[in-house]
Amino acid sequence: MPPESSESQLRRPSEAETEPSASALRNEALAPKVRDSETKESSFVTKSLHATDSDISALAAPKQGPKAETRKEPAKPAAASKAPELVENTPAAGAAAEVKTQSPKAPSAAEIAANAFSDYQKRMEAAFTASDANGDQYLSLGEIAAASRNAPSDQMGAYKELIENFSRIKDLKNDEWGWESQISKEDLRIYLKEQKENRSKIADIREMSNWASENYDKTDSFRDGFLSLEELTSRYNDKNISPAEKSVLGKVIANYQGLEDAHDDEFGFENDGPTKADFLAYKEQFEATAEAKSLGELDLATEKAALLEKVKNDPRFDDAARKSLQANMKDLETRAMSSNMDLKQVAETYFHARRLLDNPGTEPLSALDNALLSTQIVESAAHPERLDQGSHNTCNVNSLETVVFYKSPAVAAELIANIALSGRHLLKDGTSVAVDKDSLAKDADSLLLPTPEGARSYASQLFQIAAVNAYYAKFSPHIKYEQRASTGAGDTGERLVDYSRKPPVEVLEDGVPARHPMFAADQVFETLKILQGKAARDSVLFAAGYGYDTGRGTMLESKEEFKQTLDTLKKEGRFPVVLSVNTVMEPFWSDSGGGLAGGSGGGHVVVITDYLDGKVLCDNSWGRAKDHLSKERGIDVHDLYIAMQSRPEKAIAMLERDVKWNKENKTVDIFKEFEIVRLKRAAGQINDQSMYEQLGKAYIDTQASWEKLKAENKLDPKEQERVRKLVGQSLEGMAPDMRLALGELILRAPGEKLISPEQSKEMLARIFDSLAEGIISEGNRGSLDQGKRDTCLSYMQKIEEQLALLPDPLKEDFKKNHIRPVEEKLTAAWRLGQPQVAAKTELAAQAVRVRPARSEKNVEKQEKHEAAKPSHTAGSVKPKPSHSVSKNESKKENKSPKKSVRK
Amino acid sequence: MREQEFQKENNNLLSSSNLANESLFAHVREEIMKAPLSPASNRTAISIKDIGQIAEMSLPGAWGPSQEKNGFGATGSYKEFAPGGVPDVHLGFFYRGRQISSESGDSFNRVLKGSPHQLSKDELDALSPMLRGMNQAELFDLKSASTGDINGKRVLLLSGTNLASGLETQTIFIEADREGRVVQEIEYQAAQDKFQIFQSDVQKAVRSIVWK
Repeated sequence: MPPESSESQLRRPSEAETEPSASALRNEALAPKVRDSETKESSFVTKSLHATDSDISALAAPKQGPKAETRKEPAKPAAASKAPELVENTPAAGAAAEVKTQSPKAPSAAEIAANAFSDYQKRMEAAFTASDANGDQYLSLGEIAAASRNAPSDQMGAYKELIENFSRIKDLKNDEWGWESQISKEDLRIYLKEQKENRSKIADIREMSNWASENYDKTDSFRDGFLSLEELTSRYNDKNISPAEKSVLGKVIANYQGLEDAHDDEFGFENDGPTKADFLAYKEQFEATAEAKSLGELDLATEKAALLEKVKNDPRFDDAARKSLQANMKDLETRAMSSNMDLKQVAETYFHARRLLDNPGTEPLSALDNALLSTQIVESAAHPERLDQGSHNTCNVNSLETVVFYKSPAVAAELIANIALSGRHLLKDGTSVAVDKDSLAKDADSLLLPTPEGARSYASQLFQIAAVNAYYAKFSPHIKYEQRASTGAGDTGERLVDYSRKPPVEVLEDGVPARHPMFAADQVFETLKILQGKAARDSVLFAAGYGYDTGRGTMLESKEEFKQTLDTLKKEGRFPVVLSVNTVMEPFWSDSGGGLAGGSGGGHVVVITDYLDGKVLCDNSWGRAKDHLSKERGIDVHDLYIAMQSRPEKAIAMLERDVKWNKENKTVDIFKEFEIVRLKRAAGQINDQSMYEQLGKAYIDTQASWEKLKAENKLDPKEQERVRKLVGQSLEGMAPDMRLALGELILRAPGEKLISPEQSKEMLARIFDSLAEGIISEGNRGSLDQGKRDTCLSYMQKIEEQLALLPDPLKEDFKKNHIRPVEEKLTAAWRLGQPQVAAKTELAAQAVRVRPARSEKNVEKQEKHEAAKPSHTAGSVKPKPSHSVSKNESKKENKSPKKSVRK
Repeated sequence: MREQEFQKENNNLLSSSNLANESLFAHVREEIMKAPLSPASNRTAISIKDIGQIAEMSLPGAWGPSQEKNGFGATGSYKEFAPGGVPDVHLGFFYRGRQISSESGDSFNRVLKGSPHQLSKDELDALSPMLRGMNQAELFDLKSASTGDINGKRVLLLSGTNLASGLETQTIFIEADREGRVVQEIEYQAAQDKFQIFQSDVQKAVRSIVWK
């Protein structure tokens, strides 16, 4: 352990003083401050702690009180065979997690901090030596910059720190003639000493701030919003509080005066004790000092070492989980170094991750949950692009979460840790955010481990619920956003409840419960602002209709303005930002599934991460496959501006202008022409018939243009394939009559066919098979609806007409693989349709519905057994085994001389 | 004699020279025309059209639309039908509004490609992201999970009890694209005492589906 600084004043209980009295601490707090005569004066520094090496040990780890000896030994690590994720919530693992997880042989927090400092000191000194090219023991800025160009990557941080803090360091010791223009060894020595002290200060301040977030309300027994010394002392003397809390309380009492002075929130003298805002201001003021700003490298090294040490022997982690955590830590640090992120953000992220690991878990969270959250926080900070909304209506909150994790991961980490540990969080303006216990229970998404692509992680669940509640706590405190278990399809479990009514009721939207955060662009902006303490106006972008031009976000009036904003953001390195889009427009429509399974377009929120050569890179919250994060997948700025329009009418007008321009310039963008028709139908501007006519016209025009291009030898097969795929998909989503009509149009119109003959055959086959199966299953039940029969006959006529336009081999294929099997099934169906047979088949089918396919041998035996049971399933599924069943039945029926089966 | 005729006919059918002259669907038409017609009462049912992969289906006349919600995952939708005046019984058509991951989509596609069967635990685990918690014991009491066909379309059916609502639940998962990533759902939910009473209505409705 490094020697204790004799110049530092002890203002918090040392390890030697196991339990100092509260009055002693207060006396210390009110004692005059003594400054290191060698260091420069700073207004805030005088108010803050002067910790020593021995203090550091007490800061990073809870003090070992007498009870520590009675703690159980850590349980054995879980099986290493587990996937790279935390061990499952087994009773054994749970029990293990409940005990203190620190190995008895593990180095103390002080040792960890001392080692981290020693390494940091070596890196800084090595950078000094390597930079001193002329060997004069003084470094100019030029020398450092030159040396940094050849510096190994693990040394870059040291050079960066010397360069960024050059002005301050060179002035620390008056050891040059005239102006202080270079860094001497003595300057560096003093600087390193200051760094060590400041690092311990920031650690203390973090702990005090988090203590307030978790315990303020519990301690404020007078409920007056001020913590008097009496209240603090009473809490300090409470036998039920943990040694860790006692240690932090000691620091709070020691810094009582500094804390209450931090925020100007009392009339006259600040003498009623610290408010919540005081704790936040105290931290913010220190962080704003030059001393704190230069702490990144050392702070990160210390917190990193402490976190790694923490998980080293933690039974909640297996080797794979540890490696995964380490890999994410490396990715986060790389991301921080390559961006302009403050390294303290990384350090503080690790601090909150470790804080969760230190805590045994507060109902309803277990120690395992805390460990899970800890790893998810680090992963989210390392890879914010992986954050997804899962099965929740939270694209807006997911986007702001992504931005916060990108820019200031520590803010997100602190929010999640506070909510997990206490269900509460203190906003930067002192507003308290509370999340109810039920909302902390894992939902269908967060129960999935490891979190699959597209699902919402547990950490994100807590962040998103807390973020929405942060907004409401500030602007509509009677509204609470809650998460419940889903009651079925169509219920995400989200509830927005108005607690001003008795009994509380769900907030309504258009007469039905609004089961989503009800966040437009304005609310996203405000939430970003209250979480981060600030938000630039252009951190949220939207077009008219997704917000109002109230200064809460930037409303973009034109494509040019959008481009200009993107250019500025790019130039100033301020990505990512939030963007409102409309999913009825491409590329989001196709990304969502393009209406193949139902659904409709609507407002959506994504994150812009970069702008490269006219392509906007977007992070979507629908899973990695739907992100547009590479230049190849980036969205053309023009297309994205169209997709930003809240009203399809405006997008249609823009697309029509594009098509007109294309025509004037003798080019065709078939996608845009189709898109116009689709959007017009979606907007209700045209009916199905008009859609058919307009699409038909677009198809015919395209085929004609292809023919022309072919003649000119300019037809691009790749483009042709791309369009064919699109047309095929578009047809698949249409009703059969529309598909048949358009299919016929394509086949009959001259020119290069918009869908290949094989695609045509496949499309006809799908329609025919579906129709036939409907008829067969009706037949199996003994009768046929006349309407269905007529429709079927009519469709068959059309299918036949189109088949006649296809090459013979395709017709033969159709006959063999589709018509023939249907003929056979139909013949069998009518016979099975006899009432007595139908009843038997129905029971058999029901039996198969609830069990795997059976071997034919056992079919009859099982049927008898099942027939004796009452039906329970909805019979909605008719399992194929009717393979087995109908084959069997067919064999029996074949014996009948009256019916024939074509073989 | 009859079999010889069929053989001859088959040969003819496969001969391209005959294709131009003979109706390909002659025998299918003939078979369809043999079917006895069902009572006209069926036609009083309400018709549901164009929901995802469903071109058309009918529900008994007593049922009607009960709620419609859009905007799940921005593009999702939920349309619900219920028998008039009967609480705690409904049939919902749901799309979550976004594609599932390619990994889950592949798993779904694989499960459907096999012959109809009861799903193993591994298969269910692989489908977890798609199942909305229906294989999570904390949320759903799963009684059966199997694949089968509805009018020629292979689907996945899960049955059990939703623990949050207490409703008996049967959900049909339908592959709406060819990659298993776009998943449409039809969900029948009813209170325990009503589940079987309305089951036959739902059976009929599902049987009436005409796929796109």
